[in-house]
Amino acid sequence: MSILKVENLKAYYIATLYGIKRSVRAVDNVSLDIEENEIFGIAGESGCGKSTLLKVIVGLIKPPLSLIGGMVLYNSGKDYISPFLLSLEEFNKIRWSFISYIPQGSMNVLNPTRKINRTFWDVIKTHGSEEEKKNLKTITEEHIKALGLPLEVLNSYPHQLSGGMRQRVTMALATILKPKIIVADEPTTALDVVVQRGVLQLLERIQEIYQNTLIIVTHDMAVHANIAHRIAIMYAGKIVEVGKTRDIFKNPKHPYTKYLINSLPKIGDKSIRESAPGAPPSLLNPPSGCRFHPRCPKVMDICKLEVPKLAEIDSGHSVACFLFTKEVEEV
Amino acid sequence: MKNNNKLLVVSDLTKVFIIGGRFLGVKLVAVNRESFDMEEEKPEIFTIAGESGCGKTTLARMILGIIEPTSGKIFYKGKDITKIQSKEDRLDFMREVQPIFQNPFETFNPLKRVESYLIETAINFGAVKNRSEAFDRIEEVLQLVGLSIKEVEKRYPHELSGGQLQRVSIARALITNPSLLVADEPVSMVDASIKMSVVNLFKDLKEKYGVSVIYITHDLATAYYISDRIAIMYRGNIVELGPVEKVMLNPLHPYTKLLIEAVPEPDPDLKWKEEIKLSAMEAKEFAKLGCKFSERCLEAKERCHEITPEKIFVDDRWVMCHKYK
Repeated sequence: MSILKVENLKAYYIATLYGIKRSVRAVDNVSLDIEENEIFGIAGESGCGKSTLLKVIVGLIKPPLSLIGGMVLYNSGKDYISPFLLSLEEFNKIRWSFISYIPQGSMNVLNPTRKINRTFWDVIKTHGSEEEKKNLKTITEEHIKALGLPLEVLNSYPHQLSGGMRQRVTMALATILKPKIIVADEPTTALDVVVQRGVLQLLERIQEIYQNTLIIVTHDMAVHANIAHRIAIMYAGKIVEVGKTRDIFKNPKHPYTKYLINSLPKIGDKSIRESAPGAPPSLLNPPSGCRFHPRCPKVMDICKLEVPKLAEIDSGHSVACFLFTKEVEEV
Repeated sequence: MKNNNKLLVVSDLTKVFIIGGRFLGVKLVAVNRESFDMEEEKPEIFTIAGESGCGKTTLARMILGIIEPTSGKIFYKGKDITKIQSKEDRLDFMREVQPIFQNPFETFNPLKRVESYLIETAINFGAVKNRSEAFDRIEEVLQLVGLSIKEVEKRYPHELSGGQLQRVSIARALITNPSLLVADEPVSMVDASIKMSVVNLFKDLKEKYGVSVIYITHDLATAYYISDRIAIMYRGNIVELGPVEKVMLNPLHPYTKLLIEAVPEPDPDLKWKEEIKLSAMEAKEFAKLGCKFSERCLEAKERCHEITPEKIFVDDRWVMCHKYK
């Protein structure tokens, strides 16, 4: 059962300078179906729109970002709700308790003048149910214990904790009310490898304990290989391939995914790795047709004119490339 | 002197930073009595790897002469560069050793055209006599990095992509025909799909043009891919130094082991199995007695907490650990 549906989503950054309107097409016609109880990875390089997609999914749309079209739907169990149609009050109710968002660089969000447990209580007081508000101390302690973090962190100030621990505390914070969906944007990017491993371990543990859905965005393919169940590859504002982690790594279809996977260096393997030629396009003025066509080694005439549609070619493996599908996306 | 055939000799190099006031400040030993050398005859890519705060950038900056070491010596082709006085000697040294920085968008002034940097470097370092000669030289070096002057002429930094701009900054470093490049995290800000092209460029420069490279990084996968030798740093000390195959495929120091095991493999078949433990509190390891890694080390014994280990040569590499004594 899908818990989150993204349908033909279009979100552009619109800037007006001296009366000239320019739009950066960061998310352009993206559709996704995210299942319950899975870790879903979104991969892509910087500036491909992956962070923007996350922001729209959690309903954080602030100018200059604006929603052009499409829909995001959460499955609340009874019916589908959309963050775009809720009032601010209603939306605040589902934040943290139904969907929670761990932004980039979140180890720096803790208030330096308050002890960690205060921050936890704040969240419960604002977003929790009456039941949870009564037991806020025990809930906090049990949660920290369940995640295998030491209890003494609750009684510390943020500066006393190591960077990796702060990052894990914010993850514990994001999951205190047991949300159905956790959305994490580059949760390990600024961390050292050893700490990164600890943080990913915690994320996996959270997912195992609460059986919720974790959407994780990172440019690091090795992280996806280790944690994600399914992966979507994004390129220049569009999703070019979606599949199970194994299929993406062992049997990539889209030429861009192939480059991405084959260029990864591995310890113990010194064979020559090649990067894709050229550079990612500007989203202000993306290329016509398939956005990868100027860099693609297998480019055909149709690629320059039409946009390929993301189509299923194998069970659970979809690709947007004319080498595999004839379907054309309607603009 | 024995330094005759060495390109670079770093001996007993120390840098102490004082944080806070001059009298009340806390001493932070960023690099603690480190030594290594590089051969002149055989160009190589030498990687210095480690976590953030291990002192790798400080070490590189001392080699470049940007910061002064607290004690110790750096010999470049037999000359002690910490004692350079005259402007000419300094210029000579800068011609030979060139830096490449992390973020290409910060390397270049956004208000200046990219080619002006190339022309200025060529003229200031005396590589050419006039502007028309400068253009010939620039065309030459740009071709080495896979660009041409047409692609960068009259362009501002923001008009080039990150990968292109990093190539331009490598080209700039090559204008003076250096023997050594010091590259501080050169690919960490470059997009994944073009990262390997920059990494391959270093390999080409070494193989085809005999340029040695000190490659500073935290990315162990690319380090393995390009380097000949690697030094693993931890809290100001090189804990293991040797050929990259030896150090990374068969690590001896417990820290190197931990580090290499923590690198995620880009392969779903090779997922991590067991869990690891992390320290919760901010570590004060810079000031620690004995082995700085002993607090985190699973194999630590009593002496590790008290006595600083010596460097021992085992199995083709230097290891700084009591275990091998």
